[in-house]
Amino acid sequence: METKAAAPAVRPELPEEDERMDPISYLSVDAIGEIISLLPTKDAARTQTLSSRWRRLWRSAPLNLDHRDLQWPRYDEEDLAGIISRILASHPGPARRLSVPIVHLRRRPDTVDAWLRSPALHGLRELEFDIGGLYEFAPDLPLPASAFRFSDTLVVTTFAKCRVPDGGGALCFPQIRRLGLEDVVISEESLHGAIAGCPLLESLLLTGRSRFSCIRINSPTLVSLGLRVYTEELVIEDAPLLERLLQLEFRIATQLSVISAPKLETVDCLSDLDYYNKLTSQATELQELSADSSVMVVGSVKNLSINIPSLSIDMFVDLMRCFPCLDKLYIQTRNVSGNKDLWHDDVIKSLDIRLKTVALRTYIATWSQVNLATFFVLNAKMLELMICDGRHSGRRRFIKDQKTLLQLEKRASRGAQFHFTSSTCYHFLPRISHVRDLSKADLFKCDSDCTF
Amino acid sequence: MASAGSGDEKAAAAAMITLISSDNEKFEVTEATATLSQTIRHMIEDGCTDGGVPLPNVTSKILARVIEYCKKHATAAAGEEGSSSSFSDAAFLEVDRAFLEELEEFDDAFLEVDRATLFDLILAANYLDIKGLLNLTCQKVADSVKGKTPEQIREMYNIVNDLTPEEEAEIRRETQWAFE
Repeated sequence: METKAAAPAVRPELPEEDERMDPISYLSVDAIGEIISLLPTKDAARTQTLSSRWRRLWRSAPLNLDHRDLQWPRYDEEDLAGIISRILASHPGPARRLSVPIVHLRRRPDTVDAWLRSPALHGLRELEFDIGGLYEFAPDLPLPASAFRFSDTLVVTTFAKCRVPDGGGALCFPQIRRLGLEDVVISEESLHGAIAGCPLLESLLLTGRSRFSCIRINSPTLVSLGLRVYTEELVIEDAPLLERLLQLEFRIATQLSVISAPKLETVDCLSDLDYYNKLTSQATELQELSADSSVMVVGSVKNLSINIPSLSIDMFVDLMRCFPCLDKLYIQTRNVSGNKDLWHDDVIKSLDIRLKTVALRTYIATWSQVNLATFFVLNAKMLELMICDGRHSGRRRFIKDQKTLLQLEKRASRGAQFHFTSSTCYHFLPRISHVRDLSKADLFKCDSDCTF
Repeated sequence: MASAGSGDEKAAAAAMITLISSDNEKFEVTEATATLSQTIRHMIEDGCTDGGVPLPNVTSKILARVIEYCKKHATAAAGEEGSSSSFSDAAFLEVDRAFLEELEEFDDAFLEVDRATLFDLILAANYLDIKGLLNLTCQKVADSVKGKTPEQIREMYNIVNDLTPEEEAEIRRETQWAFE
């Protein structure tokens, strides 16, 4: 297999060292088409001026039309719509991808309808109605009916600010892998219908102001679920492949039940804001979190992030019991209520903390934050890294005081490192702004310059 | 496949195919690895693989790399298809995230080749109809072109501009939005 053959190739192995030849010219139209369709919209069209062969190629390559690639120089809305119309008119199809801002759906629905009916979009695989920062828009747009002509080919789709009609059958896409429903109005029945109607669905992002009494997740294929909605109850009934549950802040009291999700690894943003989260096992009775309640145990979870402005020590204990196999914990809390002697209580001391990474955000060294951090210092036997991030945390004086306050010399894990940082980003991680973000390799890595 | 009787599932899964490169080197691969190529899959379905599959468009050097890619990715595909055939659910669950990450790392390392090899891989992926490999290799070329001016791209890939100034002006007029 390693022998270097004399290469009597019928064709086409390229002469290796000839730097002057044009290697692309050897490729088939299909292969060059693949390359062109992977380029940003403008770059793709500009390849027409490379040579007479390339001149024809842009039209035969699948179209990739993303409005974000057309933003420079800045056009007004009308101009941009005109350009999109012109591109679609000049390309015969098929298409790989179309991304247009929702503003057009509101202001010129007939134009959008004409776009979607254009032959250029034949075989469309990715369709996005980009919310484009227009969060104040009322979510009352109709689902663009002409989009459904791509039902059989769409693999990635985002609808935004739409009202999904009631009845289970509105969103059925046999090929779809990623579905984003951003700030949509949707009934419980339609949501459950969509999950059932997309048999290959891997990622689902749902945000909006709809109120649900109970969202039930049953999907043999779902890997990542991101929710930012009002729901009283979330039940993961049967999700054999679910790895990520990103709740992205519940806004009302929520009961979370996990019945079957053997691969669930990351749970994000258990937050209360006004109320408690309630965790139960096997969907049994509702129990408020307290030290003696019977909480479910989800041993598969490795990463947990919680954003609870006023955590109580009891809740903390329950969380640690509920997720006994955590590697990474991200906590954002101002205050941990409860008698500080509880930190030395037998119950809390009996916890087996196997965390390797702990990150405390908005850390300003309030007494309760110090107690919480000290607990990890003294009890996390396998700790590798603890990050305390907050407004003043990077200051030298602050760090010096913290070393004493947190009793770092008594740390349970001798090899642990402690970083005190003051980052400039205040958002809570992970930052999910698109359905594709749900499958990012490292959810908790910040895109800006902070240390997370 | 027609010969696979009820007890022969394992034998069928392990069936070997011989691929013959343009320079007459023979490569033995499992059917699962070979059928990542739609071209070969069709040949197998048509029952014309006895005595080996000649691939006159692919040299042994490139075929060895292509097989390396297919072997790695066939393992992943086996997991996906497994749930419906002989794999138990437990085996299905084994194909976990770590493996997918490993696959990504493999792909990154796989792409670290000189330009001639990269284009040979595209030719082979195209001819053998291996979607994942074609997408992977074409993405690398697309990334190298992104954001460059036509002059820079021509220079990079030695593309001879045979357009007259009038033709070029016409293209610019037709697709003015792309040149602003």
